[in-house]
Amino acid sequence: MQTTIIKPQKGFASLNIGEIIKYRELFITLVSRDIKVRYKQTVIGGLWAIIQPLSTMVLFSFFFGKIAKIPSDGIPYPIFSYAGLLLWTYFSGAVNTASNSIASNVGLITKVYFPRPIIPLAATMVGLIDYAIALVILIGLMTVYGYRPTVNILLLPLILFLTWMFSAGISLWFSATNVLFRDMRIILSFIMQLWIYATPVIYPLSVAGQFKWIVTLNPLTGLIEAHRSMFLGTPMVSFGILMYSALIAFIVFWTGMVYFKSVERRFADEI
Amino acid sequence: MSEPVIKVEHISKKYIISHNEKVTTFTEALSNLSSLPKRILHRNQISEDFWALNDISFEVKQGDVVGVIGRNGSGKSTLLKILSRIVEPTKGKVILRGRTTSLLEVGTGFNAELTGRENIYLNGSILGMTRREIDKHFDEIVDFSGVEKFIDTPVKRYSSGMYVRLAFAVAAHLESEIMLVDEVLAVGDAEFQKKCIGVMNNLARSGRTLLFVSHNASAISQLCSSAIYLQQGSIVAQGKTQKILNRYLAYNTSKTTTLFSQLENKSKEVNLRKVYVNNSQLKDENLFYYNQPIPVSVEYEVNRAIDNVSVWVGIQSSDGSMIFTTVDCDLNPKLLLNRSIGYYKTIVSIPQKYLNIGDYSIIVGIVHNDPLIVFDRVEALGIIVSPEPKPEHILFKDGPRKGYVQPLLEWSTY
Repeated sequence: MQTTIIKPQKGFASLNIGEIIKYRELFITLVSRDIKVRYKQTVIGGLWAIIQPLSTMVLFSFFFGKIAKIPSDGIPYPIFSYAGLLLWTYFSGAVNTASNSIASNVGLITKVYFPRPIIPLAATMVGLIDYAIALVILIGLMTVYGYRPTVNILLLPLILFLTWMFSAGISLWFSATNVLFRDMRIILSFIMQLWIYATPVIYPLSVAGQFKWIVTLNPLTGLIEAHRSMFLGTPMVSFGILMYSALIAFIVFWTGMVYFKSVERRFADEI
Repeated sequence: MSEPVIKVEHISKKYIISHNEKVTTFTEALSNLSSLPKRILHRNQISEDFWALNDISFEVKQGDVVGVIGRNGSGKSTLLKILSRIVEPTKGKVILRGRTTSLLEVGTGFNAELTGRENIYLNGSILGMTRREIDKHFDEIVDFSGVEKFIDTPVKRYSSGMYVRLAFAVAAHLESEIMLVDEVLAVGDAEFQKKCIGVMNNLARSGRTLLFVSHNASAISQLCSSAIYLQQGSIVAQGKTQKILNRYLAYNTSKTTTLFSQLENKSKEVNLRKVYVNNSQLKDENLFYYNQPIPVSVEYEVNRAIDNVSVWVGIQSSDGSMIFTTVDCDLNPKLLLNRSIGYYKTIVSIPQKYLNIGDYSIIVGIVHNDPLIVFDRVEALGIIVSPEPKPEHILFKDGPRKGYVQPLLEWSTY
């Protein structure tokens, strides 16, 4: 028989990953709810997933590609920037949605018990559908420009996993803090606006020259560069850079979980 | 099995009431850092502890149906939230033996955009059902709800009645051993409430342990074999339901509940100052027995002699329908002629054996007729009408009847 003991927690909370796994059905339900609601609410539905990176790509191609003539490792600028924007759009979308997820699920938090990390973790999954839709466009563009993915494409699941883990880690930090300080969202959207320019999304890492090491301090650099390389054959980042990205993603995720678990008991009281 | 399935040991819950304005933004928190040393020095004046629950202990055996009764603010909701693991206790320990489900509202997590079918799965898994269990009960749930025709329609197109029925249907098919139920029964009409009580009774009979929290004495008396009476965060009494309810509804000295009071003097011609009900018998101030009249007092002030002014009192049901309104000049048209400057007090008594069992709001207004000017209108909340402990009639034997009013009428049978 299942026995539950309820008592005040002292000090650091245990992560209780086992309990999260036990609630995996709820996790799947919440992901599918968010997906259904997302595509039901907007008239254009899934088209939105394409319009967003595509219009950004057209705009950037004109200003950065045509006018500013930013180099793009010899790749036509439209597919070059689109390949970067694809992953960036997933990352920033996941972080923006998930960071507000605790506040936007008040109805659940104050009425039922379940492991709270499920909410931000589920919220970071939804964008993967948008990613998949937008990926079809990338493949279309590559066909038009005559490009084929390299053998590195086999790394795609790993890159996506690391990007997810990194975005989930940031979201755990921000979604919990957002309950205590409501302006976290504004601060975060400001950070995201700057972050895209600190990441080789619309320019190649190679233009950074001697400052390359500074750019690679950003853990997203390795992920975005690797992502582009596997589709377009641009220079692949070194194994070390990729490992660095993976390590940072893991640390942010783990500390995010610890932090989240230690403040989650205050959610229902604070909201 | 003799071991209790719910064991609550010395549970306390503290809330800190801050007398400072609470810091809710990060920028505020940063800018407050500079004054930190000062605040540490004076911190004892900043906040005050409030114990919502104070050293609560009780046990519930398997198959028991226990009611928790108490007024608003007595801590019963806090207790339920602790048992549901939504908030953490400050002290103490709870042991729950068996799968536990809490029903703090009907339709938790329902999403208006999704269809009835999708919401059954969503709500079911939020309440802790597995997908398999939902599959198994799906047809029964749809049957029970009576919305099969609209099961693939987004629930935003449902009427509120359909919505509640569907939501309750899911809850009625939960398979857990321990159920913690808040006043979900407070929603819906009398017929629906009766259905709910029926479902709860079935659950109770099937050997499940039920903890039912309510301020509604009649619901508790119909459902529960024993009860716990909470007051200001402590257990006042526990034992057999009837004994506890008698105590809860016990006779007491005359009390007045102020529903509305306005002290500052606004410069209107006529100001509403106070609305209250006078309860001569019951301890729970805004609770009236069916066989008691409900005297509503209104105090108002006339700042300038004025004619064509009237005071009205309306009784609104919990679903928002106005049941009736009564005006002070209905039987006394002379009141309309001239009201001189002064402070007035007027009482209107809602007759006994008239309002049905339920929650009502009292609405009071002062208007000038022709041209219509509304000087004041307040929704002074909350009176509860409940069945008397030893009724001389059989009206509410099977739970509340349908309808807003429940007059006892003479029948002539030949």
